Amino acid sequence: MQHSLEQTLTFRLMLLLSLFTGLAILPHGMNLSLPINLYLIALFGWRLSSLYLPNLQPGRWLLLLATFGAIFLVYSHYQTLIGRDAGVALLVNMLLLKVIEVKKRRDIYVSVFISYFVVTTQFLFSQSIAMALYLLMVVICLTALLLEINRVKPSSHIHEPILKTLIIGIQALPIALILFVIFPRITQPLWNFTTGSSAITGFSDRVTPGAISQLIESSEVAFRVQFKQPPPPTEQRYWRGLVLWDTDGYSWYTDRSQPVGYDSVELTQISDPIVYQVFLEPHNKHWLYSLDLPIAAPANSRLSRDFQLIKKQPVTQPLLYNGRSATHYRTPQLPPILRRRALQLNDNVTQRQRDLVSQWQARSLNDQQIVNEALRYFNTQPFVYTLTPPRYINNAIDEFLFEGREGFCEHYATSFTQLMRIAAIPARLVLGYQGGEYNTLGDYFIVRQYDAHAWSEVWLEDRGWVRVDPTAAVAPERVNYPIRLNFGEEGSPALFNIDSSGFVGSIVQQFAYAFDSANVQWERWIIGYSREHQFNLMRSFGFNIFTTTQWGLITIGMIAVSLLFVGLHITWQGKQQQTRVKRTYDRFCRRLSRLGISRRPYEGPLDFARRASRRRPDLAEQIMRISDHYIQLRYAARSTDMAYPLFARQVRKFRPRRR
Amino acid sequence: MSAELQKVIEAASNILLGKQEVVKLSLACLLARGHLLIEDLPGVGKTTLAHTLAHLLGLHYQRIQFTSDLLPSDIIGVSIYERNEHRFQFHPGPVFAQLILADEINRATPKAQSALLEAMEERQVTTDGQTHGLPEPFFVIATQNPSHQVGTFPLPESQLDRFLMRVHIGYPERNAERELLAGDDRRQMLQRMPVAMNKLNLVDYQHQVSQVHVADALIDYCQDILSFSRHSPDYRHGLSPRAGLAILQGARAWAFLEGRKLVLPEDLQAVLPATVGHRLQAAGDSSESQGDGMVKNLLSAVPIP
Repeated sequence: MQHSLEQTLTFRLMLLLSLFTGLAILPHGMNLSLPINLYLIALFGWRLSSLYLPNLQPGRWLLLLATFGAIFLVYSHYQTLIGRDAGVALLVNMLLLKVIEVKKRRDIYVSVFISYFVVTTQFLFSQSIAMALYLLMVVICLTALLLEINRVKPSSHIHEPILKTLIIGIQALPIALILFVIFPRITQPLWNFTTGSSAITGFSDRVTPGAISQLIESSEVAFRVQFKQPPPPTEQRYWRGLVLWDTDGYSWYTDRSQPVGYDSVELTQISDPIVYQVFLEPHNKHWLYSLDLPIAAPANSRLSRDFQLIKKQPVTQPLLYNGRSATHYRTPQLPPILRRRALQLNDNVTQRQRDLVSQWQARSLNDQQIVNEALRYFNTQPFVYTLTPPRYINNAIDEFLFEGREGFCEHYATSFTQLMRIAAIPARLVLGYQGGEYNTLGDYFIVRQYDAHAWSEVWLEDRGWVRVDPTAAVAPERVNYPIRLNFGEEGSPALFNIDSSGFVGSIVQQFAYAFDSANVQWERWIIGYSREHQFNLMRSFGFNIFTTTQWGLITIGMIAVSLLFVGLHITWQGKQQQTRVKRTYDRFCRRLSRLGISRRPYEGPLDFARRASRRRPDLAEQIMRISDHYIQLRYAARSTDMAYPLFARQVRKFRPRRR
Repeated sequence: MSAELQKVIEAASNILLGKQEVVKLSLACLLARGHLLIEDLPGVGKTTLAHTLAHLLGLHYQRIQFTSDLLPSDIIGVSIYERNEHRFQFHPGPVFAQLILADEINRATPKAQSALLEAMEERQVTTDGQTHGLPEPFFVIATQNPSHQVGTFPLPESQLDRFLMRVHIGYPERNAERELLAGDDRRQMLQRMPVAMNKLNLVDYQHQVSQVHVADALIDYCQDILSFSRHSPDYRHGLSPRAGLAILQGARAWAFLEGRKLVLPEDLQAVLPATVGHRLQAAGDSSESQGDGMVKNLLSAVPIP
């Protein structure tokens, strides 16, 4: 045993072990804090250098010290040793210390198994498809290493253990699939990790000047939408998020002490409803996004009186829901309380604004005309739509309207809403997204943070609430094309991606779409595969069994059946292999019989080879080699997988001539 | 094959001139932990072969000359009343040895024969309600005259089955016989010869033999042979499963002597006459009821799968 043990702990194996555990730990670098990362790097460096310089191999006391150092570091940083972050930090440290400590074969097993666990913990932080692929690669490396450790002789090629790992993995796949598809899922996670540390970009429920223009610097995906029918044109793709009623003169919000309520709203649809599916990225907020204007609430959420979709719990995980909207509609009567609220003004209203509004009123006969006047004002006055608006300090709306005239959508929307209220037209502010790019490969729209938008709604007596987008009056391109994220100097006009840039650009775009599409499928079917999906799937197969125990039993049964199949397959394959070897040998014998040396049916391979060699000494070497090979394949205890192709090749090449 | 075994074969062939094949088969039989039956006419060297093997292997051996008045107690031993201690004391017989030469086994009565044959099968002896284990290793090399000779009690088939192999020695070739006639006395030569092997090594070789691999393809071949013997009209009975085991065990030992870790069809063929010759009987009234010729027919009739 001593001998084989020393064989195990070769330099090459130790180096591979160190590298693979390093690879397993690597992505945790993003999740751990800097001092812990530095400590880990130091430990890793120690491991590598002690491989090259055995003098550096630490003794027991030094290792103990390093272990306490790790524990102290983790505790002082997190004030605890349990929980996701501290636990992982501790685990990763211990793994590296274990790898430093490796003395026996058993230590290698332990290290590899802890590495598997470390790989699993990575999913507590990230579940992206790229990370899954990376971790799969690490697992393959680790398993190949495990195979290599268990070999008596080191394998000749690096691809040999990797190939074997892949074969094992493919064999295990059916069972993994069964477990994934039908094993009962836990509806609630065993423990709830807060993702507080990572900032999530998105709206807050309060709009201040400049809030959205910060948001558009991000190209993160807000949500994706797939329409069940032809999608509405771009100018109708307003994604309604939340509605703001109140202002303090600087920011807009909805006062929580006066909720709008969920009274059933009767909406007169003018167009057919549009049905679509939204795949929402987590934003930690209660509201959902829907195509303007939602007419029905998805599961676990409600439709408010001002047509917001409010979910009971904040969205902390990717959420898939069905939406139903009408693009042409007429909203019902406005109650007096809400009308009063939609006319509320603040003390930031100046005389200039009142004068402007009274000019419009003088020229107009009704509210609709006042709205048109306002839009014309934005269109004809030298307003600039810019991603880098100047800061308006004292009275933001007033300074914007009359002095700066450079602004982003929220400037236009807030000032327009205020002007409408001055004109005694009920108005409110709506936040959401506009547009979205179409993924041709996946047939869905991607709405990103930079599609964030703000617009107004005004109450017109004969039409109810009407969406008015003053930004469109200034920069109509905003509605039809995505913004080009090109931040010029302050106040420079925003640019738009009116056409895709050239051939290379479109290829890159295709790749981006393919990747995004794969990601969506991944999130939807792998990460988002829930107990609900399970039951739906089973119901669609006609099973109506509901208890977890029964599910468990069914799973075990299916695994047993698949193992049985695997067993049968292995025996069958063994038989196949044997007959294959025999067939090839028969071909060899036929070639010899053409020379007049035919094998008698009862003649053993060795006897025949000797006899044939005596008859044809010139072929003796070849005949003996092939026969030896045949004997090894057919009669030896264990033949290597690689042996048969070699044998077959030798027989193929054996083309003797008559003398 | 180890040099030690090679030495045993060479030394034995020096005594028994020109009979290397028989010597090798006999050695294979012992390595396969089987008992050996040597059958031939008187005077061709049966006893010499048995003696030579016992001597060269360095085993503690006893010779029992079977005669028609031999009693079982002459083989097993007897309990005698010890007057001083007032109890019966078992006195082990010649069977308590590692190697037993049972000379002319078919000259004894069936009663005496079965006493030895029981010991061979059970590797223990029971007398007066007491069981006595036999030493390890335990071999029986029995010799017998052809059954058609006068004054013989032929061994029944069931007892023949207990011998793993039966070998014939046959007359020597002319040159070998000349050397024998001209040379020294074989018995004296044997006395001068050193022991070639140590007992522990023998146990080790036996273990190694049991590790020699028999592939599925070879088991198929063995089964084809068994099945052929059962369905062919040439034989009175088919071969038993025990015969199948004996064939494979013998083939393992032969392969080991050939220096292989795996059994080839050739190994099986080499031991087949010795392992099944005494288990097969020709159908009909043939006077030659057993024979190697029959085995040769069997071999050529069954193709190697």
